[in-house]
Amino acid sequence: MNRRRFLRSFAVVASLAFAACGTAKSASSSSTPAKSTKVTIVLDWTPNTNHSGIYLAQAKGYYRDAGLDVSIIEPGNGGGLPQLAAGNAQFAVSVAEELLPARAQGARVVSVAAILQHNTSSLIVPASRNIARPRDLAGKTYGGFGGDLEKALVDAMVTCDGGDPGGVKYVEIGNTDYKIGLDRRDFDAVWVFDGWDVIRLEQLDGMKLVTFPFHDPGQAGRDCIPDWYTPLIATTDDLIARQPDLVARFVQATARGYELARSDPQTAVAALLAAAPELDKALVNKSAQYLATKYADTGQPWGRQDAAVWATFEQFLVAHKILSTPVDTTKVFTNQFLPKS
Amino acid sequence: MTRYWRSAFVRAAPPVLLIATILGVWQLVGGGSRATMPAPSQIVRAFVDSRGVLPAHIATTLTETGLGVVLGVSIGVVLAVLVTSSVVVRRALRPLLVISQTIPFPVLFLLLVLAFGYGLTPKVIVVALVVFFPVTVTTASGLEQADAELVDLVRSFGASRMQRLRHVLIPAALPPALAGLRISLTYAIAAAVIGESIGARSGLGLYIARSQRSFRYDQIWVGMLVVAALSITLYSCVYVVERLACPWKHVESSAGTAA
Repeated sequence: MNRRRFLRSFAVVASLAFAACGTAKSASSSSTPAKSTKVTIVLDWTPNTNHSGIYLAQAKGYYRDAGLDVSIIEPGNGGGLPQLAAGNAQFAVSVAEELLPARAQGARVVSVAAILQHNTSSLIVPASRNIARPRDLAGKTYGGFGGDLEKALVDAMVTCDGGDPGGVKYVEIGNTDYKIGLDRRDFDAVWVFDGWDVIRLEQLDGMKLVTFPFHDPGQAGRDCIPDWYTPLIATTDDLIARQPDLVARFVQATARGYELARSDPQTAVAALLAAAPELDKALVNKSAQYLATKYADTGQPWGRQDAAVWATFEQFLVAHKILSTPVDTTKVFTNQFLPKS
Repeated sequence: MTRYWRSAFVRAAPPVLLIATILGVWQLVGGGSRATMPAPSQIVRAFVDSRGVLPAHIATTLTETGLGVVLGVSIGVVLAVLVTSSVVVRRALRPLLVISQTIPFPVLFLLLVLAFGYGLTPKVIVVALVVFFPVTVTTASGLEQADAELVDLVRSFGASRMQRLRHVLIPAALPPALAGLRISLTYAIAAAVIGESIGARSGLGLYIARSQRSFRYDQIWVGMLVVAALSITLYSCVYVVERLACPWKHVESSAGTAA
Protein backbone atom coordinates (compact mmCIF):
# COMPACT_ATOMS: atom_id res chain seq x y z
CA MET A 1 0.00 0.00 0.00
CA ASN A 2 2.38 2.67 -1.13
CA ARG A 3 1.29 6.24 -1.30
CA ARG A 4 -0.11 6.10 -4.79
CA ARG A 5 -3.11 8.05 -3.64
CA PHE A 6 -1.30 11.37 -4.10
CA LEU A 7 -1.08 10.89 -7.78
CA ARG A 8 -4.69 9.99 -7.59
CA SER A 9 -5.67 13.10 -5.68
CA PHE A 10 -5.22 15.11 -8.86
CA ALA A 11 -7.63 12.87 -10.67
CA VAL A 12 -9.95 13.15 -7.68
CA VAL A 13 -9.91 16.93 -7.76
CA ALA A 14 -10.50 16.88 -11.49
CA SER A 15 -13.45 14.54 -11.25
CA LEU A 16 -14.84 16.35 -8.23
CA ALA A 17 -14.82 19.53 -10.24
CA PHE A 18 -17.63 18.16 -12.34
CA ALA A 19 -19.15 15.89 -9.75
CA ALA A 20 -19.37 18.50 -7.02
CA CYS A 21 -22.33 20.22 -8.56
CA GLY A 22 -24.36 17.03 -8.28
CA THR A 23 -25.67 16.23 -4.85
CA ALA A 24 -25.56 12.81 -3.29
CA LYS A 25 -28.55 10.71 -4.17
CA SER A 26 -30.57 9.99 -1.11
CA ALA A 27 -30.13 6.67 0.56
CA SER A 28 -33.33 4.86 -0.22
CA SER A 29 -35.05 5.08 3.11
CA SER A 30 -38.17 3.02 3.35
CA SER A 31 -41.45 3.93 4.95
CA THR A 32 -41.62 0.82 7.09
CA PRO A 33 -39.06 0.89 9.88
CA ALA A 34 -38.74 -2.91 9.78
CA LYS A 35 -37.15 -2.70 6.35
CA SER A 36 -33.46 -1.89 6.30
CA THR A 37 -31.98 1.13 4.56
CA LYS A 38 -29.57 0.52 1.72
CA VAL A 39 -26.20 2.17 2.27
CA THR A 40 -23.04 2.01 0.16
CA ILE A 41 -19.53 2.64 1.42
CA VAL A 42 -16.66 2.83 -1.05
CA LEU A 43 -13.24 1.85 0.26
CA ASP A 44 -10.06 3.73 -0.61
CA TRP A 45 -8.17 0.67 -1.82
CA THR A 46 -8.29 -3.11 -1.97
CA PRO A 47 -9.81 -4.49 1.28
CA ASN A 48 -7.16 -4.48 3.98
CA THR A 49 -6.78 -4.30 7.75
CA ASN A 50 -7.60 -0.57 7.77
CA HIS A 51 -11.12 -1.69 6.84
CA SER A 52 -11.40 -4.36 9.55
CA GLY A 53 -14.07 -2.54 11.55
CA ILE A 54 -16.30 -2.15 8.51
CA TYR A 55 -16.06 -5.84 7.63
CA LEU A 56 -16.60 -6.77 11.29
CA ALA A 57 -19.70 -4.56 11.52
CA GLN A 58 -20.97 -6.35 8.41
CA ALA A 59 -20.04 -9.87 9.54
CA LYS A 60 -21.25 -9.46 13.12
CA GLY A 61 -24.57 -7.96 12.05
CA TYR A 62 -23.97 -4.53 13.64
CA TYR A 63 -25.17 -2.84 10.47
CA ARG A 64 -28.20 -5.10 10.32
CA ASP A 65 -28.97 -4.32 13.97
CA ALA A 66 -28.85 -0.64 13.05
CA GLY A 67 -31.37 -1.21 10.26
CA LEU A 68 -28.79 -0.85 7.52
CA ASP A 69 -28.18 -2.98 4.47
CA VAL A 70 -24.57 -2.03 3.72
CA SER A 71 -22.70 -2.86 0.55
CA ILE A 72 -18.94 -2.44 0.72
CA ILE A 73 -17.39 -1.49 -2.58
CA GLU A 74 -13.71 -1.58 -3.43
CA PRO A 75 -12.80 1.28 -5.70
CA GLY A 76 -10.12 0.09 -8.07
CA ASN A 77 -7.89 2.90 -9.26
CA GLY A 78 -10.22 5.84 -8.90
CA GLY A 79 -10.51 5.95 -5.12
CA GLY A 80 -13.73 6.31 -3.17
CA LEU A 81 -14.18 10.07 -2.92
CA PRO A 82 -15.28 10.67 -6.53
CA GLN A 83 -17.98 8.01 -6.06
CA LEU A 84 -19.13 9.82 -2.92
CA ALA A 85 -19.19 13.18 -4.66
CA ALA A 86 -20.94 11.65 -7.67
CA GLY A 87 -23.71 10.40 -5.40
CA ASN A 88 -22.99 6.71 -6.04
CA ALA A 89 -22.24 6.12 -2.36
CA GLN A 90 -23.22 7.55 1.02
CA PHE A 91 -19.85 6.96 2.66
CA ALA A 92 -16.26 6.64 1.51
CA VAL A 93 -12.94 5.78 3.08
CA SER A 94 -10.63 8.68 2.35
CA VAL A 95 -7.65 10.56 3.80
CA ALA A 96 -7.19 14.13 5.03
CA GLU A 97 -4.89 14.99 2.13
CA GLU A 98 -7.66 14.01 -0.28
CA LEU A 99 -10.54 15.52 1.67
CA LEU A 100 -9.06 19.01 2.14
CA PRO A 101 -8.31 19.67 -1.55
CA ALA A 102 -11.74 18.26 -2.44
CA ARG A 103 -13.33 20.64 0.05
CA ALA A 104 -11.26 23.50 -1.38
CA GLN A 105 -12.65 22.60 -4.82
CA GLY A 106 -16.17 22.94 -3.50
CA ALA A 107 -17.08 19.30 -2.86
CA ARG A 108 -19.14 19.19 0.34
CA VAL A 109 -17.44 16.16 1.88
CA VAL A 110 -16.96 15.69 5.62
CA SER A 111 -14.97 13.29 7.81
CA VAL A 112 -17.17 11.57 10.41
CA ALA A 113 -14.56 9.27 11.99
CA ALA A 114 -10.80 8.76 12.04
CA ILE A 115 -10.06 5.10 11.30
CA LEU A 116 -6.53 5.38 12.73
CA GLN A 117 -5.84 7.88 15.48
CA HIS A 118 -2.42 8.84 14.09
CA ASN A 119 -0.61 8.77 10.79
CA THR A 120 1.04 5.35 10.65
CA SER A 121 3.08 5.84 7.51
CA SER A 122 6.84 6.09 7.23
CA LEU A 123 9.69 6.87 4.93
CA ILE A 124 11.68 3.66 4.67
CA VAL A 125 15.18 2.94 3.44
CA PRO A 126 17.01 -0.38 3.22
CA ALA A 127 19.52 -0.63 6.08
CA SER A 128 22.35 -1.08 3.57
CA ARG A 129 22.14 2.48 2.22
CA ASN A 130 23.95 4.33 5.03
CA ILE A 131 20.96 6.53 5.78
CA ALA A 132 20.71 6.77 9.57
CA ARG A 133 18.63 9.94 9.87
CA PRO A 134 16.54 12.14 7.61
CA ARG A 135 19.30 14.59 6.67
CA ASP A 136 21.29 11.67 5.19
CA LEU A 137 18.67 11.60 2.40
CA ALA A 138 20.52 14.49 0.73
CA GLY A 139 22.36 12.96 -2.21
CA LYS A 140 20.03 9.95 -2.19
CA THR A 141 17.04 9.15 -4.35
CA TYR A 142 13.41 9.19 -3.26
CA GLY A 143 10.99 7.02 -5.22
CA GLY A 144 7.58 8.66 -5.32
CA PHE A 145 4.38 9.16 -7.22
CA GLY A 146 4.80 12.77 -8.27
CA GLY A 147 2.56 14.32 -5.63
CA ASP A 148 3.28 17.74 -4.13
CA LEU A 149 2.62 16.50 -0.60
CA GLU A 150 5.32 13.86 -0.63
CA LYS A 151 7.92 16.36 -1.78
CA ALA A 152 6.79 18.85 0.88
CA LEU A 153 7.06 16.16 3.57
CA VAL A 154 10.51 14.99 2.51
CA ASP A 155 11.69 18.60 2.26
CA ALA A 156 10.35 19.41 5.71
CA MET A 157 11.86 16.32 7.29
CA VAL A 158 15.32 16.81 5.77
CA THR A 159 15.40 20.56 6.45
CA CYS A 160 14.21 20.06 10.01
CA ASP A 161 17.04 17.60 10.61
CA GLY A 162 19.59 20.14 9.35
CA GLY A 163 20.03 18.64 5.88
CA ASP A 164 19.84 20.09 2.39
CA PRO A 165 16.47 19.20 0.82
CA GLY A 166 17.75 20.32 -2.58
CA GLY A 167 20.13 17.36 -2.52
CA VAL A 168 17.32 14.79 -2.57
CA LYS A 169 16.74 13.34 -6.02
CA TYR A 170 13.24 12.28 -7.06
CA VAL A 171 12.18 9.51 -9.42
CA GLU A 172 8.74 8.21 -10.26
CA ILE A 173 7.98 4.70 -9.12
CA GLY A 174 5.22 4.23 -11.64
CA ASN A 175 2.72 1.43 -11.40
CA THR A 176 5.08 -1.20 -9.99
CA ASP A 177 5.98 -2.83 -6.71
CA TYR A 178 8.24 -0.43 -4.78
CA LYS A 179 10.24 -3.39 -3.42
CA ILE A 180 11.63 -4.10 -6.87
CA GLY A 181 12.87 -0.51 -7.21
CA LEU A 182 14.43 -0.66 -3.74
CA ASP A 183 16.13 -3.99 -4.53
CA ARG A 184 17.42 -2.70 -7.87
CA ARG A 185 18.59 0.55 -6.24
CA ASP A 186 16.47 2.65 -8.59
CA PHE A 187 15.72 4.64 -5.44
CA ASP A 188 16.77 4.54 -1.78
CA ALA A 189 13.66 5.75 0.02
CA VAL A 190 9.94 5.28 -0.38
CA TRP A 191 6.84 6.27 1.59
CA VAL A 192 4.73 3.35 2.79
CA PHE A 193 2.27 2.27 5.46
CA ASP A 194 3.69 0.72 8.63
CA GLY A 195 0.71 -1.58 9.10
CA TRP A 196 1.00 -3.18 5.67
CA ASP A 197 4.21 -2.55 3.76
CA VAL A 198 6.68 -2.37 6.64
CA ILE A 199 5.22 -5.60 8.03
CA ARG A 200 5.52 -7.15 4.58
CA LEU A 201 9.15 -6.11 4.06
CA GLU A 202 10.47 -6.70 7.58
CA GLN A 203 8.42 -9.60 8.90
CA LEU A 204 7.56 -11.54 5.76
CA ASP A 205 10.44 -10.77 3.40
CA GLY A 206 13.10 -10.44 6.11
CA MET A 207 14.38 -7.11 4.80
CA LYS A 208 16.46 -4.91 7.11
CA LEU A 209 15.00 -1.40 7.09
CA VAL A 210 15.59 1.99 8.61
CA THR A 211 12.21 3.67 9.08
CA PHE A 212 11.34 7.32 9.67
CA PRO A 213 7.71 7.35 10.83
CA PHE A 214 6.09 10.70 9.99
CA HIS A 215 4.27 10.83 13.29
CA ASP A 216 7.10 10.31 15.75
CA PRO A 217 7.24 13.39 18.00
CA GLY A 218 10.71 14.23 19.28
CA GLN A 219 12.51 12.21 16.61
CA ALA A 220 14.96 13.91 14.26
CA GLY A 221 13.18 15.99 11.64
CA ARG A 222 9.69 15.03 12.77
CA ASP A 223 8.85 18.18 14.71
CA CYS A 224 8.23 20.01 11.44
CA ILE A 225 5.68 17.48 10.23
CA PRO A 226 2.11 17.56 11.47
CA ASP A 227 0.00 14.53 12.26
CA TRP A 228 -3.12 13.93 10.14
CA TYR A 229 -6.02 11.55 9.74
CA THR A 230 -5.31 8.77 7.26
CA PRO A 231 -7.54 6.89 6.65
CA LEU A 232 -10.89 8.28 7.75
CA ILE A 233 -14.58 7.80 6.93
CA ALA A 234 -16.21 10.56 4.90
CA THR A 235 -19.77 11.44 3.98
CA THR A 236 -21.41 14.56 2.54
CA ASP A 237 -22.87 17.73 4.09
CA ASP A 238 -25.98 16.91 2.15
CA LEU A 239 -26.56 13.50 3.77
CA ILE A 240 -25.84 14.95 7.23
CA ALA A 241 -28.42 17.65 6.64
CA ARG A 242 -31.10 15.36 5.28
CA GLN A 243 -30.54 12.07 7.14
CA PRO A 244 -28.49 12.70 10.29
CA ASP A 245 -30.04 9.63 11.88
CA LEU A 246 -28.78 7.42 9.06
CA VAL A 247 -25.27 8.84 9.42
CA ALA A 248 -25.34 8.27 13.18
CA ARG A 249 -26.52 4.67 12.83
CA PHE A 250 -23.83 3.91 10.27
CA VAL A 251 -21.01 5.56 12.20
CA GLN A 252 -22.02 3.95 15.49
CA ALA A 253 -22.30 0.47 13.99
CA THR A 254 -18.91 0.99 12.35
CA ALA A 255 -17.47 2.14 15.68
CA ARG A 256 -18.67 -1.12 17.25
CA GLY A 257 -16.77 -2.95 14.52
CA TYR A 258 -13.55 -1.07 15.15
CA GLU A 259 -13.84 -1.49 18.92
CA LEU A 260 -14.04 -5.24 18.30
CA ALA A 261 -11.03 -5.07 15.96
CA ARG A 262 -9.10 -3.42 18.81
CA SER A 263 -10.03 -6.03 21.40
CA ASP A 264 -10.12 -9.12 19.18
CA PRO A 265 -7.77 -8.90 16.17
CA GLN A 266 -8.28 -12.61 15.39
CA THR A 267 -11.98 -12.08 14.73
CA ALA A 268 -11.07 -9.09 12.56
CA VAL A 269 -8.74 -11.29 10.53
CA ALA A 270 -11.48 -13.87 10.03
CA ALA A 271 -14.02 -11.24 8.90
CA LEU A 272 -11.60 -9.62 6.46
CA LEU A 273 -10.37 -12.90 4.98
CA ALA A 274 -13.94 -14.15 4.60
CA ALA A 275 -14.69 -11.08 2.49
CA ALA A 276 -11.38 -11.06 0.59
CA PRO A 277 -9.91 -14.58 0.72
CA GLU A 278 -7.36 -13.64 -1.97
CA LEU A 279 -5.35 -11.60 0.55
CA ASP A 280 -2.17 -13.02 2.02
CA LYS A 281 -3.15 -14.60 5.34
CA ALA A 282 0.18 -14.07 7.09
CA LEU A 283 0.23 -10.39 6.14
CA VAL A 284 -3.37 -9.82 7.26
CA ASN A 285 -2.70 -11.62 10.52
CA LYS A 286 0.37 -9.61 11.50
CA SER A 287 -1.16 -6.38 10.27
CA ALA A 288 -4.31 -6.89 12.35
CA GLN A 289 -2.24 -7.48 15.48
CA TYR A 290 -0.29 -4.29 14.80
CA LEU A 291 -3.31 -2.11 14.00
CA ALA A 292 -5.27 -3.27 17.05
CA THR A 293 -3.11 -0.83 19.03
CA LYS A 294 -3.37 1.93 16.42
CA TYR A 295 -7.09 2.37 15.74
CA ALA A 296 -7.30 4.56 18.85
CA ASP A 297 -5.06 5.65 21.70
CA THR A 298 -5.12 3.40 24.74
CA GLY A 299 -8.12 4.14 26.94
CA GLN A 300 -9.75 6.35 24.29
CA PRO A 301 -12.79 5.46 22.18
CA TRP A 302 -12.37 4.88 18.45
CA GLY A 303 -12.91 7.53 15.82
CA ARG A 304 -12.32 10.87 17.60
CA GLN A 305 -10.87 13.73 15.60
CA ASP A 306 -9.15 16.71 17.09
CA ALA A 307 -9.73 20.22 15.69
CA ALA A 308 -6.09 21.12 16.28
CA VAL A 309 -4.86 18.17 14.17
CA TRP A 310 -7.02 19.28 11.23
CA ALA A 311 -6.04 22.94 11.61
CA THR A 312 -2.31 22.22 11.82
CA PHE A 313 -2.37 19.93 8.81
CA GLU A 314 -4.37 22.46 6.80
CA GLN A 315 -1.80 25.14 7.65
CA PHE A 316 0.99 22.84 6.51
CA LEU A 317 -0.76 22.25 3.18
CA VAL A 318 -1.36 25.98 2.70
CA ALA A 319 2.23 26.85 3.67
CA HIS A 320 3.53 24.38 1.10
CA LYS A 321 1.10 25.62 -1.56
CA ILE A 322 -0.60 22.23 -1.82
CA LEU A 323 -3.82 24.00 -0.93
CA SER A 324 -4.15 27.19 -2.95
CA THR A 325 -7.14 28.38 -0.95
CA PRO A 326 -7.52 27.94 2.82
CA VAL A 327 -10.21 25.58 4.04
CA ASP A 328 -12.37 26.09 7.12
CA THR A 329 -11.26 23.01 9.03
CA THR A 330 -14.10 23.24 11.55
CA LYS A 331 -16.42 22.18 8.71
CA VAL A 332 -14.21 19.34 7.47
CA PHE A 333 -14.88 16.96 10.32
CA THR A 334 -17.40 16.18 13.03
CA ASN A 335 -17.41 13.90 16.07
CA GLN A 336 -21.17 14.30 16.58
CA PHE A 337 -22.11 10.88 15.16
CA LEU A 338 -19.67 8.83 17.21
CA PRO A 339 -21.04 6.81 20.15
CA LYS A 340 -21.43 8.99 23.24
CA SER A 341 -18.91 7.84 25.79
CA MET B 1 0.64 -48.29 -36.22
CA THR B 2 4.17 -48.41 -34.79
CA ARG B 3 5.29 -46.07 -37.52
CA TYR B 4 2.45 -43.72 -36.63
CA TRP B 5 3.43 -43.68 -32.97
CA ARG B 6 7.09 -43.27 -33.79
CA SER B 7 6.42 -40.22 -35.97
CA ALA B 8 4.05 -38.81 -33.33
CA PHE B 9 6.81 -39.20 -30.76
CA VAL B 10 9.38 -37.56 -33.00
CA ARG B 11 7.06 -34.62 -33.51
CA ALA B 12 6.02 -34.29 -29.87
CA ALA B 13 9.41 -34.80 -28.26
CA PRO B 14 11.10 -31.45 -29.00
CA PRO B 15 8.38 -29.17 -27.57
CA VAL B 16 7.79 -31.49 -24.60
CA LEU B 17 11.50 -31.61 -23.81
CA LEU B 18 11.86 -27.87 -24.17
CA ILE B 19 8.92 -27.15 -21.89
CA ALA B 20 10.16 -29.71 -19.35
CA THR B 21 13.62 -28.12 -19.36
CA ILE B 22 12.19 -24.61 -18.93
CA LEU B 23 10.00 -25.79 -16.05
CA GLY B 24 12.94 -27.63 -14.47
CA VAL B 25 15.23 -24.61 -14.58
CA TRP B 26 12.39 -22.37 -13.42
CA GLN B 27 11.76 -24.68 -10.47
CA LEU B 28 15.44 -24.39 -9.50
CA VAL B 29 15.71 -20.60 -9.76
CA GLY B 30 12.12 -19.71 -8.81
CA GLY B 31 11.23 -18.41 -5.37
CA GLY B 32 8.38 -18.63 -2.87
CA SER B 33 4.89 -17.17 -2.83
CA ARG B 34 6.05 -13.56 -2.59
CA ALA B 35 8.85 -13.76 -5.17
CA THR B 36 8.17 -12.07 -8.49
CA MET B 37 9.16 -15.36 -10.16
CA PRO B 38 7.66 -18.05 -7.92
CA ALA B 39 8.65 -21.64 -8.70
CA PRO B 40 6.13 -23.66 -10.76
CA SER B 41 5.43 -25.85 -7.72
CA GLN B 42 4.57 -22.71 -5.75
CA ILE B 43 2.19 -21.57 -8.50
CA VAL B 44 0.51 -24.98 -8.48
CA ARG B 45 0.16 -24.73 -4.70
CA ALA B 46 -1.38 -21.25 -5.03
CA PHE B 47 -3.78 -22.60 -7.65
CA VAL B 48 -4.85 -25.41 -5.33
CA ASP B 49 -5.25 -22.93 -2.44
CA SER B 50 -7.37 -20.67 -4.65
CA ARG B 51 -9.64 -23.41 -5.94
CA GLY B 52 -12.42 -22.28 -3.61
CA VAL B 53 -12.52 -18.68 -4.86
CA LEU B 54 -11.55 -19.11 -8.52
CA PRO B 55 -14.82 -20.57 -9.90
CA ALA B 56 -16.86 -17.50 -8.92
CA HIS B 57 -14.24 -15.14 -10.39
CA ILE B 58 -14.05 -17.18 -13.59
CA ALA B 59 -17.84 -17.18 -13.87
CA THR B 60 -17.95 -13.38 -13.56
CA THR B 61 -15.22 -12.85 -16.12
CA LEU B 62 -16.79 -15.29 -18.59
CA THR B 63 -20.21 -13.69 -18.15
CA GLU B 64 -18.80 -10.25 -18.92
CA THR B 65 -16.86 -11.64 -21.85
CA GLY B 66 -19.86 -13.58 -23.19
CA LEU B 67 -22.24 -10.63 -23.00
CA GLY B 68 -19.60 -8.32 -24.47
CA VAL B 69 -18.91 -10.72 -27.32
CA VAL B 70 -22.60 -11.12 -28.17
CA LEU B 71 -23.04 -7.35 -28.13
CA GLY B 72 -19.80 -6.74 -30.04
CA VAL B 73 -20.53 -9.35 -32.72
CA SER B 74 -24.06 -8.03 -33.21
CA ILE B 75 -22.80 -4.48 -33.60
CA GLY B 76 -19.94 -5.69 -35.81
CA VAL B 77 -22.20 -7.55 -38.21
CA VAL B 78 -24.72 -4.71 -38.43
CA LEU B 79 -21.92 -2.22 -39.08
CA ALA B 80 -20.38 -4.51 -41.72
CA VAL B 81 -23.69 -4.72 -43.57
CA LEU B 82 -24.13 -0.94 -43.33
CA VAL B 83 -20.59 -0.22 -44.43
CA THR B 84 -20.85 -2.48 -47.49
CA SER B 85 -24.35 -1.35 -48.38
CA SER B 86 -23.35 2.09 -49.63
CA VAL B 87 -20.29 4.21 -50.25
CA VAL B 88 -21.78 7.17 -48.38
CA VAL B 89 -22.39 5.13 -45.23
CA ARG B 90 -18.86 3.73 -45.43
CA ARG B 91 -17.37 7.21 -45.74
CA ALA B 92 -19.48 8.41 -42.83
CA LEU B 93 -18.66 5.53 -40.49
CA ARG B 94 -15.01 4.85 -41.16
CA PRO B 95 -13.50 7.67 -39.06
CA LEU B 96 -15.77 6.79 -36.12
CA LEU B 97 -14.77 3.13 -36.34
CA VAL B 98 -11.10 4.04 -36.23
CA ILE B 99 -11.57 6.54 -33.41
CA SER B 100 -13.36 3.87 -31.37
CA GLN B 101 -10.16 1.81 -31.41
CA THR B 102 -7.90 4.65 -30.28
CA ILE B 103 -9.58 5.20 -26.90
CA PRO B 104 -7.22 4.20 -24.06
CA PHE B 105 -9.32 1.60 -22.24
CA PRO B 106 -8.03 2.16 -18.68
CA VAL B 107 -9.06 5.83 -18.95
CA LEU B 108 -12.40 4.91 -20.46
CA PHE B 109 -12.97 2.49 -17.57
CA LEU B 110 -12.55 5.24 -14.98
CA LEU B 111 -15.33 7.22 -16.65
CA LEU B 112 -17.54 4.15 -17.22
CA VAL B 113 -17.21 3.16 -13.57
CA LEU B 114 -18.33 6.62 -12.47
CA ALA B 115 -21.27 6.40 -14.85
CA PHE B 116 -22.31 2.75 -14.40
CA GLY B 117 -20.78 1.65 -11.10
CA TYR B 118 -18.97 -1.58 -10.35
CA GLY B 119 -21.26 -4.09 -11.99
CA LEU B 120 -21.05 -5.88 -15.31
CA THR B 121 -21.96 -2.94 -17.56
CA PRO B 122 -18.59 -1.15 -17.89
CA LYS B 123 -16.78 -4.42 -18.66
CA VAL B 124 -19.40 -5.55 -21.18
CA ILE B 125 -19.11 -2.19 -22.96
CA VAL B 126 -15.35 -2.41 -23.21
CA VAL B 127 -15.37 -6.06 -24.31
CA ALA B 128 -17.90 -5.13 -27.01
CA LEU B 129 -15.65 -2.24 -28.06
CA VAL B 130 -12.71 -4.60 -28.40
CA VAL B 131 -14.69 -7.29 -30.20
CA PHE B 132 -16.77 -5.37 -32.71
CA PHE B 133 -13.94 -3.83 -34.70
CA PRO B 134 -12.19 -6.95 -36.07
CA VAL B 135 -15.61 -8.49 -36.71
CA THR B 136 -16.75 -5.42 -38.65
CA VAL B 137 -13.59 -5.31 -40.75
CA THR B 138 -13.44 -9.01 -41.59
CA THR B 139 -17.18 -9.38 -42.18
CA ALA B 140 -17.22 -6.33 -44.43
CA SER B 141 -14.30 -7.61 -46.47
CA GLY B 142 -16.03 -11.00 -46.73
CA LEU B 143 -19.22 -9.35 -48.00
CA GLU B 144 -17.26 -7.24 -50.47
CA GLN B 145 -15.36 -10.20 -51.77
CA ALA B 146 -18.49 -12.23 -52.41
CA ASP B 147 -18.28 -13.15 -56.06
CA ALA B 148 -20.13 -10.36 -57.85
CA GLU B 149 -20.69 -12.56 -60.90
CA LEU B 150 -22.19 -15.24 -58.67
CA VAL B 151 -24.56 -12.65 -57.15
CA ASP B 152 -25.56 -11.55 -60.66
CA LEU B 153 -25.95 -15.13 -61.75
CA VAL B 154 -28.35 -16.14 -58.97
CA ARG B 155 -30.20 -12.87 -59.43
CA SER B 156 -30.67 -13.69 -63.16
CA PHE B 157 -32.23 -16.97 -62.02
CA GLY B 158 -34.68 -14.87 -60.03
CA ALA B 159 -33.19 -15.27 -56.55
CA SER B 160 -34.73 -12.92 -54.01
CA ARG B 161 -32.67 -10.64 -51.81
CA MET B 162 -33.01 -13.14 -48.92
CA GLN B 163 -31.98 -16.00 -51.15
CA ARG B 164 -28.92 -14.11 -52.37
CA LEU B 165 -28.02 -13.47 -48.75
CA ARG B 166 -28.62 -17.08 -47.76
CA HIS B 167 -26.81 -18.77 -50.61
CA VAL B 168 -24.06 -16.37 -51.64
CA LEU B 169 -23.36 -13.55 -49.21
CA ILE B 170 -23.47 -15.39 -45.87
CA PRO B 171 -21.31 -18.30 -47.07
CA ALA B 172 -18.83 -15.74 -48.40
CA ALA B 173 -18.76 -13.61 -45.26
CA LEU B 174 -18.90 -16.34 -42.60
CA PRO B 175 -15.29 -17.61 -42.76
CA PRO B 176 -13.66 -14.17 -42.49
CA ALA B 177 -16.22 -13.10 -39.86
CA LEU B 178 -15.40 -16.13 -37.71
CA ALA B 179 -11.69 -15.53 -38.20
CA GLY B 180 -12.23 -11.96 -37.01
CA LEU B 181 -14.14 -13.24 -34.01
CA ARG B 182 -11.35 -15.68 -33.19
CA ILE B 183 -8.81 -12.84 -33.18
CA SER B 184 -10.94 -10.52 -31.08
CA LEU B 185 -11.75 -13.21 -28.52
CA THR B 186 -8.10 -13.42 -27.55
CA TYR B 187 -8.34 -9.77 -26.46
CA ALA B 188 -11.87 -10.00 -25.08
CA ILE B 189 -11.04 -11.80 -21.84
CA ALA B 190 -7.99 -9.61 -21.25
CA ALA B 191 -10.18 -6.51 -21.71
CA ALA B 192 -12.68 -7.80 -19.13
CA VAL B 193 -9.84 -8.58 -16.71
CA ILE B 194 -8.29 -5.13 -17.05
CA GLY B 195 -11.71 -3.63 -16.42
CA GLU B 196 -12.15 -5.72 -13.29
CA SER B 197 -8.80 -4.66 -11.90
CA ILE B 198 -9.95 -1.03 -12.16
CA GLY B 199 -13.14 -1.57 -10.20
CA ALA B 200 -15.23 -4.68 -9.62
CA ARG B 201 -16.97 -6.83 -7.08
CA SER B 202 -15.84 -10.12 -8.56
CA GLY B 203 -13.79 -11.47 -11.45
CA LEU B 204 -10.27 -12.60 -12.29
CA GLY B 205 -9.09 -8.99 -12.52
CA LEU B 206 -10.20 -8.46 -8.92
CA TYR B 207 -8.46 -11.69 -7.90
CA ILE B 208 -5.25 -10.42 -9.51
CA ALA B 209 -5.59 -6.91 -8.01
CA ARG B 210 -6.12 -8.26 -4.49
CA SER B 211 -3.21 -10.67 -4.91
CA GLN B 212 -0.97 -7.88 -6.15
CA ARG B 213 -1.84 -5.63 -3.24
CA SER B 214 -1.02 -8.27 -0.68
CA PHE B 215 2.13 -9.07 -2.65
CA ARG B 216 1.14 -12.62 -3.58
CA TYR B 217 2.94 -13.00 -6.87
CA ASP B 218 2.18 -16.70 -7.05
CA GLN B 219 -1.53 -15.84 -7.18
CA ILE B 220 -0.89 -13.24 -9.88
CA TRP B 221 0.67 -16.04 -11.94
CA VAL B 222 -2.34 -18.24 -11.27
CA GLY B 223 -4.65 -15.45 -12.49
CA MET B 224 -2.53 -14.90 -15.57
CA LEU B 225 -2.44 -18.60 -16.45
CA VAL B 226 -6.19 -18.98 -15.93
CA VAL B 227 -6.83 -16.03 -18.27
CA ALA B 228 -4.50 -17.61 -20.84
CA ALA B 229 -6.21 -21.00 -20.51
CA LEU B 230 -9.66 -19.45 -20.94
CA SER B 231 -8.51 -17.47 -23.98
CA ILE B 232 -7.07 -20.60 -25.59
CA THR B 233 -10.29 -22.48 -24.86
CA LEU B 234 -12.47 -19.79 -26.43
CA TYR B 235 -10.13 -19.53 -29.41
CA SER B 236 -10.35 -23.29 -29.94
CA CYS B 237 -14.13 -23.26 -29.60
CA VAL B 238 -14.46 -20.69 -32.39
CA TYR B 239 -12.02 -22.72 -34.47
CA VAL B 240 -14.26 -25.78 -34.08
CA VAL B 241 -17.33 -23.70 -34.95
CA GLU B 242 -15.50 -22.40 -38.00
CA ARG B 243 -14.80 -25.93 -39.24
CA LEU B 244 -18.35 -27.06 -38.60
CA ALA B 245 -19.97 -23.98 -40.09
CA CYS B 246 -17.73 -23.73 -43.12
CA PRO B 247 -16.83 -27.33 -44.02
CA TRP B 248 -16.09 -26.31 -47.62
CA LYS B 249 -13.31 -24.05 -46.38
CA HIS B 250 -11.66 -26.90 -44.53
CA VAL B 251 -11.90 -29.24 -47.53
CA GLU B 252 -10.43 -26.60 -49.83
CA SER B 253 -7.52 -25.82 -47.60
CA SER B 254 -6.61 -29.44 -46.87
CA ALA B 255 -6.88 -30.21 -50.58
CA GLY B 256 -4.53 -27.28 -51.13
CA THR B 257 -2.04 -28.65 -48.62
CA ALA B 258 -2.15 -32.12 -50.15
CA ALA B 259 -1.50 -30.81 -53.64
